[in-house]
Amino acid sequence: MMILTLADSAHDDAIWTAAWGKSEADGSETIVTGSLDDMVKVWKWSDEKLELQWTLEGHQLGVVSVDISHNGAIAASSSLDAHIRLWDLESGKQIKSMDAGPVDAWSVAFSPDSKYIATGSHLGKVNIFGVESGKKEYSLDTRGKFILSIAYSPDGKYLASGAIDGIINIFDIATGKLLHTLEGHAMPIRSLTFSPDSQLLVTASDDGYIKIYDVSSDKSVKVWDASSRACINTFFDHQDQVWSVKYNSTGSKIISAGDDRVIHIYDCPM
Amino acid sequence: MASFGWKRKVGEKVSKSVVQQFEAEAEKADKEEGCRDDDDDGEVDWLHAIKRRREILLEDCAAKSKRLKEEGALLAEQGRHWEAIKKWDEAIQLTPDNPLLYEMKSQVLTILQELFPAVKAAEMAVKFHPVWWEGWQTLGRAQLNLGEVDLAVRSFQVAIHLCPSERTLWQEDLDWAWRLQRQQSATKQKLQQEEETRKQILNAPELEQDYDFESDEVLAACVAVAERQTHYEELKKTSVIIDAEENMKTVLTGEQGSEETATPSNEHFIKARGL
Repeated sequence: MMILTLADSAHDDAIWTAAWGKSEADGSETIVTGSLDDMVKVWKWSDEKLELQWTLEGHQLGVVSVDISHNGAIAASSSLDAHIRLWDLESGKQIKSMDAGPVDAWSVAFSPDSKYIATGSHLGKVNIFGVESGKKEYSLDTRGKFILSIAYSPDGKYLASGAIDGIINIFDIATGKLLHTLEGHAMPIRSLTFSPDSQLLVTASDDGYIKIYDVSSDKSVKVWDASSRACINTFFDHQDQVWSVKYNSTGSKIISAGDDRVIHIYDCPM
Repeated sequence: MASFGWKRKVGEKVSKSVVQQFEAEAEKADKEEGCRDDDDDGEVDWLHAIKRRREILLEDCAAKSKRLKEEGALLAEQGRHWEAIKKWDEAIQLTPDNPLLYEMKSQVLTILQELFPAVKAAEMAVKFHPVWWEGWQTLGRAQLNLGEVDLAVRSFQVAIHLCPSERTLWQEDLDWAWRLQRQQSATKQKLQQEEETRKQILNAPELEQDYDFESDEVLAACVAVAERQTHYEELKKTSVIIDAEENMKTVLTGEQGSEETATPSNEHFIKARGL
């Protein structure tokens, strides 16, 4: 396992979020990053190189979260300015801007069928926006605290949310019912994701306990083996706090981004 | 044959087992003595003297700094701000990497209207603990007081990113600073617009053409210039505000006369500073 690429000064300020997507149409791979400098940037990943494709302007405050639809055509971004924006990755144009209301747009996640976007909010509600309609369709209530992280299972059956108080909630999408409440951590859950087979939920928290990957309060990127529950690799390549780590669709590469404004791409043999 | 040299290492010729035995015995004797009388009345522990002294010193610094911090906090509560700062400065001398001390100092400096030192102190707090949202909040507030709106907006954003559930950050800090930022940029735009209109009055494009001073063209040019003049006057009379619904508005201001006299002197002041 090694660091492959690093894009220096990828943004003008700290990079808060990153996403890795694959186009269904031509199989090309795209990386989207969001930063405190209000910008969303789209990068093409080809021949082991990172190439800037679009700089998307529109957000008026820092970009907190980005995600790419599963067909690789659309990117969604949410910002502290309380707006969720949808971007066409082919043309680099904004498709929609949705006003989520203050504090109601934190992390964004596309549903596996790319029809909906889920976002967490301050009162513990998960709001589901329609990609077509650009409106709030319905919401799931955890009756909990501020939701920092959100994830759909790849098979589309479940939705998991992680709150600032360390509580994880898992919903059944079909019925909208709350299935489980897990008290997994004592501190904020910054990131969570499902394994590709939707069987495992992986959570990362400020308390330093993480199962697959680590975006917590140090400068290292840790890669964890879920089966043996051992840390396989720790990278100390970042100069500052790491905020976002994502796998590509096949799991062969990892991207990380952080306060030092650098994007790192790692090779991880399968 | 033992050779003598300045570079000889200490303990080079001493057998390890002998040293261990000696230390064990000395310790035993020490303990016995310790039982008889208190440790530090004249008795020097030669064996561990150097090591122990360092430990005591370190412990002392942290403890003393903590005491000074608490004393300062008490003084600040009673409104004795300068005395509090003095205490904290002493504490900073002892523990120079404690972000709490800088952060508290920054808050009190802000109360004392020592705006620039307040920003400096908060910057130190953030430097030593960059993932502590309260440090960023204090830094943002200090920057806002200094008029650095853009920097303040950035600091509040970092604070929110660290702790998004803190309502005051959203509702008081970022909301207010962001509003100021937008107002500032709107005002800047309006000033630019004003400046352009003024320039056009001075060298009106209509007057640059050649005229045969008979036709209606002259009249048209004069009308255009006059129109621009009134437009400029109107621009000068208005000012930018943001209403409750977050809309930018330009509004007529009442005291035209006083403002007009104020403006030139203001410009002069800025120019003088520029030199």
